[in-house]
Amino acid sequence: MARVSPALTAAAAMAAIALASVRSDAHKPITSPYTFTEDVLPIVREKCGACHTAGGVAPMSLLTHADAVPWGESIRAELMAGHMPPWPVDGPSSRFRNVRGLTARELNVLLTWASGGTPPGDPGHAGAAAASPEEKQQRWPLGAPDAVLSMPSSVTLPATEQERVEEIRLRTSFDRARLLRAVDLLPGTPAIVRSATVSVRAAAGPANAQDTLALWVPGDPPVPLAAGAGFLLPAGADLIVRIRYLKTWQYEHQEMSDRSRVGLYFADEPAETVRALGVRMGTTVIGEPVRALAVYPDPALAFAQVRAVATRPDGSREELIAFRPRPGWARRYWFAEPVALPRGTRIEVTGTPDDALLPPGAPPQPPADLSAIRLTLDVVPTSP
Amino acid sequence: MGRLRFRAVTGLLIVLLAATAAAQRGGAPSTPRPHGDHNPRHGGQFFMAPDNWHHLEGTYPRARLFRLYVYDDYSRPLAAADLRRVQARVVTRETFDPATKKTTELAVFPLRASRQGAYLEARVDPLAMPAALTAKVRVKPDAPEYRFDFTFPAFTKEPAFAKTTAGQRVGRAAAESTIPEITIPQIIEQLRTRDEQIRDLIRAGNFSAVWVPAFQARDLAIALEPHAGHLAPRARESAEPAIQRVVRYAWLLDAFGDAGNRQQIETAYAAFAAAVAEVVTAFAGAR
Repeated sequence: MARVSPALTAAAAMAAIALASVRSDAHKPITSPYTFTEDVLPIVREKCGACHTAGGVAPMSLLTHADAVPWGESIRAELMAGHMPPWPVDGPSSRFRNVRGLTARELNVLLTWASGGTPPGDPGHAGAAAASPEEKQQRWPLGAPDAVLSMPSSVTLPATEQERVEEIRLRTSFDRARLLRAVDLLPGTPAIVRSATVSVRAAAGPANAQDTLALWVPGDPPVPLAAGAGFLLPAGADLIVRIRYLKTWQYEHQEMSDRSRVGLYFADEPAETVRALGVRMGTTVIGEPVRALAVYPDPALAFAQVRAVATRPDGSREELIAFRPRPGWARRYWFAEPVALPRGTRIEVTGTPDDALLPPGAPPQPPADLSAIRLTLDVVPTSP
Repeated sequence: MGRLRFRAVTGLLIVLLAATAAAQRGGAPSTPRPHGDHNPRHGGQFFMAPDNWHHLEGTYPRARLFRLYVYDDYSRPLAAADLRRVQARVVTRETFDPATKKTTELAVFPLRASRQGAYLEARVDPLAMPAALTAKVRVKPDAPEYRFDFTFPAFTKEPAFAKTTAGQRVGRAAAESTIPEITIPQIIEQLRTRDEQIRDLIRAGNFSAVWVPAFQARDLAIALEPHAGHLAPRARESAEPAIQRVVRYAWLLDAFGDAGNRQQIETAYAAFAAAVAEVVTAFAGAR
């Protein structure tokens, strides 16, 4: 049998390494004039960093070039589908206070970079002048709450459990009813707290008092009510915190624990109690004059295209919201200005399956459950 | 002999390492890369499959003959054995029912591998020019079926020399040039023109060329974005999301144009055109 020369073997091995290196390093030609450090990072840090950070709830960090590059194709697909950032409002964003969308230019920078070879840019440019998203995760966005309620004990997801919805009762010890301008949640372990609802359970209270105090999703900072309005927390009421825990692939087969806290911010009194006004598919007629402060969907509503329009008795029409709720992203949409809904206003809610354009190769969306089209308006009475 | 072999090995190593270094520096223009070359090899229409790996080129070299070339991610022809695993047919007549979303094929012809395994071929019925044909392709037996809509304004002519340079993709950087200082009415007028160009390209079945006016429209929309803040509140409310949609749908038009599926690209264009119309309305009267 002929002997193979060691030099030839070494050459073949190095040639293989060299060729492999060419193939992996040169995956795409660099056509993007935008680089990660100079153009992409400032946008990602501001608009995506609350979730896409080390230890964040998203399945990957996007805050370093090395972290972001492998996800270039996914970034491109999610942006083109309009799925990320999770701001599913079709109409004008300026109508709402807690907007999370991208400007046209920002969208184009990210798409151009993801499609154009994902160039890194100058590493010296990536200064961390602003607080890092990791640090922000440990802070209350509205500042120190007036009262903090901790979960009585940790919730632990064993290595074998991937997802769980946990309902936790928090006792309050206020000797009188309080009005709240905001309620927030600070996850103990942000990586697994995917969403939460904080509601109030009281033995007595005014009819229709809003009992959903907070719809928390990561990266959606709390919006405080303006002066003159507050969510009612009756004396001795319990808070029910319903948390959806979900492990990303990074934490699969690991035991994970969380002990989140709920922060309460008291409103200046006197103030009007915020009430809940439910509207379904079809037409709802407003019985008493109110001002709408926010709107939110039923958490089960997804893959539908929903529009709510108010027609006042004087004939004026105003679109309240047109949106395509995504699963797992139920939140409040806070109107930039309260919307006046005089007595006799008709609110028409329409819905169809979402026919969103998805980029080539994207999996089709599941069919929508149109029976889940229920919206709730946060309203306060209009002074006569 | 031994010295000669050592020199040859050393030479080979130097060449390979130099090539590697060049690639890592950013690459010589001739360095082959995945998706670095979407130029047709045989003068036909070139599309990228939705699996983001395969590429296809359709040709209509003479009456009643359709050929389909299948390439890999480097736009190299598939090996004959791999080509024979491709399951494909060409449809020249079909109907689509929007209510049931069901397509009924009326004239179907199987695509079979040529003797040398260089391409798939089908004898089709006579077609008037421009000839419209749809290839329905599974790149391997367990893959989903992809649709590619070809339109040939004339018989395909084989180029004298095969084009292998990376042209189209690299050229996109040039398309992303900034918009020079022009007035808002001029931007709006150009936006309308790009919209019409896209419409005409789609009508002609020239899908792979749609990205040029689409990206020009995108840049025009981005140039308008800072001006939206000066509009009246109602117009601004309408303009800002519409501008964002123009940009997003321009990117989708580019992606669908590569994929060559007429229904998808027409849907994307309808959404794009609606967004352009909203922008035009919002900026009506702006100076």
